[in-house]
Amino acid sequence: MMEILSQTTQYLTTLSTIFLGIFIEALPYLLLGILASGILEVFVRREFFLKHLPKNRYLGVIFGSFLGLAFPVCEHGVVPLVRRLYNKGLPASMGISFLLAAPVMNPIVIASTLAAFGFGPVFYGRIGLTLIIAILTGLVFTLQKDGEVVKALSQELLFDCQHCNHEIDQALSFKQKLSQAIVISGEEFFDIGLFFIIGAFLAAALQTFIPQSTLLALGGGPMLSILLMIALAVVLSVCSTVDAFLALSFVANFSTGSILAFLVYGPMIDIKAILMFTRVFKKKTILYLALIPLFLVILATLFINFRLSV
Amino acid sequence: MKPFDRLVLIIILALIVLIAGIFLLGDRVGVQILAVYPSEGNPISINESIGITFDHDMDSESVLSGFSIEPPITGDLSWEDNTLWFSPIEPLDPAIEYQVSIASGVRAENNRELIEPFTFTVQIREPDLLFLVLDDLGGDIWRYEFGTGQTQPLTDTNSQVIDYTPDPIGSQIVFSQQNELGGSDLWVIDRDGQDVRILLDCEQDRCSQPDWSPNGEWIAYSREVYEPRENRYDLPRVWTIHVETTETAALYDFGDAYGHTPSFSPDGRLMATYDLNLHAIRILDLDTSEESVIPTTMAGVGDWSPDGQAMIFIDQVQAALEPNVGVYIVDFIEKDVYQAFGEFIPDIDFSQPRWSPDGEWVAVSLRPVGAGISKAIWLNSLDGREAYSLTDDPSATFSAYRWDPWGNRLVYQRFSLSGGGQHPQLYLWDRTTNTSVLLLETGARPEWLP
Repeated sequence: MMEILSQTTQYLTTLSTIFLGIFIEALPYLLLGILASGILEVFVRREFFLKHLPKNRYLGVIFGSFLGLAFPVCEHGVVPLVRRLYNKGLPASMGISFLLAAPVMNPIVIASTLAAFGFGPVFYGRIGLTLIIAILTGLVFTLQKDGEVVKALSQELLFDCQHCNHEIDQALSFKQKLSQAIVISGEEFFDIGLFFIIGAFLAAALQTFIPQSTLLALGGGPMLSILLMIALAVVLSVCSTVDAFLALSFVANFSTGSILAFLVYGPMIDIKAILMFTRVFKKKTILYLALIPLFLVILATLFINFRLSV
Repeated sequence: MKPFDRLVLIIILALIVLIAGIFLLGDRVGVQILAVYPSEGNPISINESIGITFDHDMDSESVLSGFSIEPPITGDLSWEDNTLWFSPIEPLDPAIEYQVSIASGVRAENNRELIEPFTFTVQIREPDLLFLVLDDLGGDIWRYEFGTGQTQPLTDTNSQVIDYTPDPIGSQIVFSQQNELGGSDLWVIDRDGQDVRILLDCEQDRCSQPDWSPNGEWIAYSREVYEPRENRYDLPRVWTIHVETTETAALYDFGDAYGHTPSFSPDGRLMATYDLNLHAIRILDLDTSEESVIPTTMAGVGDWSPDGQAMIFIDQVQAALEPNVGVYIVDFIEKDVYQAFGEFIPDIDFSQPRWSPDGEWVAVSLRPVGAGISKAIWLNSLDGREAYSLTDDPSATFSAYRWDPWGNRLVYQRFSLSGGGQHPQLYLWDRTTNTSVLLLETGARPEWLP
């Protein structure tokens, strides 16, 4: 009995430690994203935003994949920001390429990847593969109507902004606008943050009950290592701003392809992100958003492992 | 199913087909060899290790079965992370270009294989000779290159070098150099005399008699501590210093552990020092800290057998006319001390026995008791059945002899007894011709530089 109690206590300690680790690490980036979302909502008018977007949908997808350079948020901040951008009239396909690329294609993550790996195959591979996969996935969604991609609330905001929850009076003073932005950010935090917490808890639980050592022990050949590193990325849900340093610890035992799989797929899709997606996208969209990048990442990294000496 | 869902399904199926295609075509990269040591065009020393670094954790058994060297040589194989090291047991031959190969099919722990066989060439550099050029103050280290016959100074200390020794692979030389405070410091230079750096600033203490550990990580040395209150030097103690961290400490931490002449065994397991209190050679097992003591009144340690399992040393034997000096061997395996050369040879004063690399012969200098101070060099078989003189010149004394790594040559110092102003000379004896030639008109205390 005492042994069970002791083991349970140990599990709970580990669980809370890992949960707090993930939560504290990712929270600043979530707040940054939510704050950016609030500011965007208040200070950028929908007409202005729509006017400056590429008119061509395909160009829009490419444009979207580079948008992260202007919005330096990781995967925890990009979801609320994308939702807000959809409200401003961003095409769904462009939002998807932004959503998938921004966690890597932003100055902070580029710098951290460079610091960890230097100019080399991992650095270039991460940026290159992220761009290609985000653009290809975005291009697929150009073939779907926006209304079929995003959820009803966003759809409503997208197509009938007269009924927006946060229709902003542009005559407000700067101070009033800032106050409004904070209010919106607060609402956004409670809306998205709940899913973020549930996701962080799930990631922590998986790490507690499936030890990392077990995953690593299974690490093997060129194919298995890719699948394992993808699984690890999904389970760990590490913020893209710091995942390069985590990946660095795997370099000695894992192939370059599998390291890239970890660094490319992890920022696009993980447990927290999927739960947060449910506030923005329809179920089928979420499924496709998980599967298309997954198979593209496996294809690319397997090719790297089997065909390229990097 | 809606058209878009159908499209996505087709895309996913196409991706799966492509993934399966790549998978079925198989691994065309496999295990990679990231680096080899030595790299091409960089000869290594005769006793340096050869390394191959893989990009995977390798299956040791698989790699060892696929590893070969042509022409074959014996050595030890060991792993350091993903690098396989081959350490030759016998010195490599500079006249040979060794072909080191790894067969295709050797496996990593994750079962990836080396797809193409891999071969690289290892060139061995000819050993050179180090020596001191002395004046009244001290000396400077010079190098003699056998390939070109040229000499060059490696230090420029204004004759402040007291003693020196090269590391086991000949890449660095440690030397003790007098400083302005009256003490002596330990300095390190590379084999070309570059990269000069102070290893240990001993201030007023006298640090000398450095000796490298076989792995090149440690240096043992003798240290005489200056006592300012009494304005004198304490008796020497043996210290060690870690070459990379320069962390230094006394070998023995008890109060009266006075000793000098530290010497690592060839396998690095034992250390010999001469204990000034016990008048004995003290042997310390560096792994277990076990000790043995071999009494001898002749200050200094002996010479290790090539396998490190025995030591040849000298001891005084009382006799009617004047004390003889005999030669003895201590066997650390059998824990036995016995007379070298089969039996006691009376009325001879032996000194500086030096074991040949094959362990069969001993070079030793000697003089008949009661004769002059001239000492000749002799070569004695270990069992005492054969002995012959290498020098026959009563007008000079011979010392500081060193075997080359193969035991084919012996370099030694000749010092003329005929008058003042003489400088020691260096001679080289060749075993195949049994002749000695003058190598350098001025030179002392030679050491081979691998």
